[in-house]
Amino acid sequence: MTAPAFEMRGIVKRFPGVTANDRADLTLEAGEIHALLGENGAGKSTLMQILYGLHRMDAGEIRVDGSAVRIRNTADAIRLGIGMVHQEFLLVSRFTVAENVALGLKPVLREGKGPWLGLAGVAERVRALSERYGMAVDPGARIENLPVGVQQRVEILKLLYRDARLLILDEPTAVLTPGEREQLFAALRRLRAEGHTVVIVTHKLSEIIALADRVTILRDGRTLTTVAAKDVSERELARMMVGREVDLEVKRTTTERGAAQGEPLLEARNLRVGNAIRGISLKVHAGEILGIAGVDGNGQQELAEALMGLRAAQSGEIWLRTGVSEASTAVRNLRGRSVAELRAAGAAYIPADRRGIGSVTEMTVSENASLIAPARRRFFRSRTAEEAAARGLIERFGIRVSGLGQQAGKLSGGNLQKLILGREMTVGAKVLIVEQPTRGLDAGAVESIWRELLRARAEGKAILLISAELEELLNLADRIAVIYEGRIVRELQGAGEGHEIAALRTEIGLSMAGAKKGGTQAEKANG
Amino acid sequence: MNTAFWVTWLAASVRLAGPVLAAAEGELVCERAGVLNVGIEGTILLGALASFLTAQATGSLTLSLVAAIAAGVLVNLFLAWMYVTVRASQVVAGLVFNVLAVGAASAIYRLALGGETAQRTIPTFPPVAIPWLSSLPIIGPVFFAQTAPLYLTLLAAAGAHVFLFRTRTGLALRAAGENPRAADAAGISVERMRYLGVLVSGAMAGMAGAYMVLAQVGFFREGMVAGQGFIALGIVIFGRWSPWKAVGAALVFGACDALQFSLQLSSGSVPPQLLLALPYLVTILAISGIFGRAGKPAALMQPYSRD
Repeated sequence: MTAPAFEMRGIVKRFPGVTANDRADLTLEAGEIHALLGENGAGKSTLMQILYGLHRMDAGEIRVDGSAVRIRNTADAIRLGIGMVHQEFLLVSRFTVAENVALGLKPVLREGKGPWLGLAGVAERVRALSERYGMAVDPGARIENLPVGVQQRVEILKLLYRDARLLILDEPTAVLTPGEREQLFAALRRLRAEGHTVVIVTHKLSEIIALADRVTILRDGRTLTTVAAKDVSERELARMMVGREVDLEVKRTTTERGAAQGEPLLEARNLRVGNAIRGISLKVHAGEILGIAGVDGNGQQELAEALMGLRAAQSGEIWLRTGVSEASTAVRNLRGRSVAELRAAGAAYIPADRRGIGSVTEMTVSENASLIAPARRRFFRSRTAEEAAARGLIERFGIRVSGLGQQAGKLSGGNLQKLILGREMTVGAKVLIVEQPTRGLDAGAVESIWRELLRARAEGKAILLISAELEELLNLADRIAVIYEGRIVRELQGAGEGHEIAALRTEIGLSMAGAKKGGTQAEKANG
Repeated sequence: MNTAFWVTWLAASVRLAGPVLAAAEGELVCERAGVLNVGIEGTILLGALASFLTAQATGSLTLSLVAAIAAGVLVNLFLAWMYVTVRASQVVAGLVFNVLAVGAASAIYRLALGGETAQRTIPTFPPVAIPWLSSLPIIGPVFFAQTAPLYLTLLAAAGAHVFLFRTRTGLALRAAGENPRAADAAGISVERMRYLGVLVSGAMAGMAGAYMVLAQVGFFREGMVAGQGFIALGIVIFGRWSPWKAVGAALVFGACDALQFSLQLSSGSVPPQLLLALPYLVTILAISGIFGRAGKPAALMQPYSRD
């Protein structure tokens, strides 16, 4: 039997205070797609960063084709044929594709002599590679003009250009439309057929079943097991990853349905924001979740910011109804008003950027918990009130903190998100604007965030849920509007009541890519 | 106004544009690497002093020019350390350095000249007419009957273009100024690229100082730079961070300057103080970003560290 192409044995990596990898093992064969699965903090990224030379292991052994190797930096890794595409692309947006590929190449590689760049040669070989692997790319195009799916191809071509045999892809589908995802999968299958090894780091179980040959599951820094993907179900994978049963489909029930659905609490009329939002009208009713589907960068962030008064809208109207009871049905057009006025009128905001906008990471948990609470006293803070509020949130939302004085920035993504969510949900706002609430969170945290959103819905809040995750919207939203280039191109009923999920998924997927109204199947799903 | 006026005016424009252009070309390379080097004002002054003292001691113009460039590189090693290694605020470090440079220059000047108070002068670079080219009408006397430092400066502009866009190191340096994380991931040392940028701007600012002393005035005064370093910053912005466009931008500034001299001599209708102030006013507006920021390196003024 021949030795595996790449092998990691007994890898230990300690960071101050944490052991990220605790005798983890991983075996990769040539010509396979291997999924690496685990919750956030399970050690997937660290393990891959060790293989790519970004971290040095404290103990363990790495073998390539059976012989032990030392990987001290990324240059070593590249020399051994190991390449990695990070979740956040590392491309210079103002450079062309060829310039990005040429960046950092050592002159020992084929193209260019001495100090000269030799871009023409680079471009030629990029073109040849892109044809061979079915990844169409124009070497002369500037990155900033390319869609995300093509940018990802550039990242992969960069690795192939450097003769990578092992391609590590960190959460490769997080930013892709369903169509782009299929193209990526096709390209990866082609790479597998050519004998390359592909590792995808993910926590999307359906993709593992669809794409991977084998799955290695990491938990608490250790390798739990490696199984053939065809032998397991999503439910089994989830149980192995989390260590307990996980409810993958948080289904809404009629009892959770808010009673007062029908009265619009938030309404936007023909809203325009620069070039980003080109005339959007929408209504969110009490006890309803309106989902906004779309690939990132189609105006979602601008929409949320405009509705919260964080960004100026040039025209249109923003109406907020401040109460559900008959007595307080004051309705006002609040376009052009400040964030404070919008909040006072009953809007709350859970931004996509948890660390940059949602919290002040340098401040403590209790300070963050009270950031937007109405002041009790005119001038001085009340420390006891702040801490009581924080304790309330921690208890009600199950936030894990080391203490009230812990820096918010030190919380895990899931716990920080729960803190922000809890804070925004408990200030008495009737309208919640929620942006990408579960991005980057593991299955356990996703589950609890979803439950909280459904609870808020049951309480009669109106929720505008902006998400790039189709599954999230299909699970939670009563209605789904698809945003594309600053317009709502499609609006559909959610999947809750008997519509075929597959048809809905196709229809939304097509709209996300800007397609015109779909075919008969889609019409059925809508009608 | 006749041809002679135009030729005189344009030739003076080119002459006056020289030092700021030299400083601007270096600054441009530095900013392409992601560092705003506000310290060029002080570096120009120290370069001027170094060239003046060397000329006094040795009488060699070439040696004086080399000494100024060496001084510029040396003091910018300190600035690079502040900007890149310490990751200090680039604007604050640069501004404070400029104040320090004025103090240091006047102290050194007094020490070197003892108690002497008379203004010492040194010989300067003579104009060199380039055969054939200098006999072209208008263009000849304007561009090809200038001094050696001007030709050097124009060569440096061409060199900056070739370096930035045709070499591997140039690509790596621009990547460090556009997306340092991507550069780092590609195996490029962002630190090294930024040091390189700051040192290039130091060398060119030193040369700009020598230019003023050795080809324009022939003496040293502590107030002689008079904000021309800041004008160079403005030229980089006007030139949209392109070595060629910077040449054009520098000529416009030089023309403003020359016009003020000419008008001072010819008529009294426009107050000369206003024209004197014009380049500075335009610089302030340029730095404020009022003319747009197209072409600005995306990571300009952002210190880089891995975490």
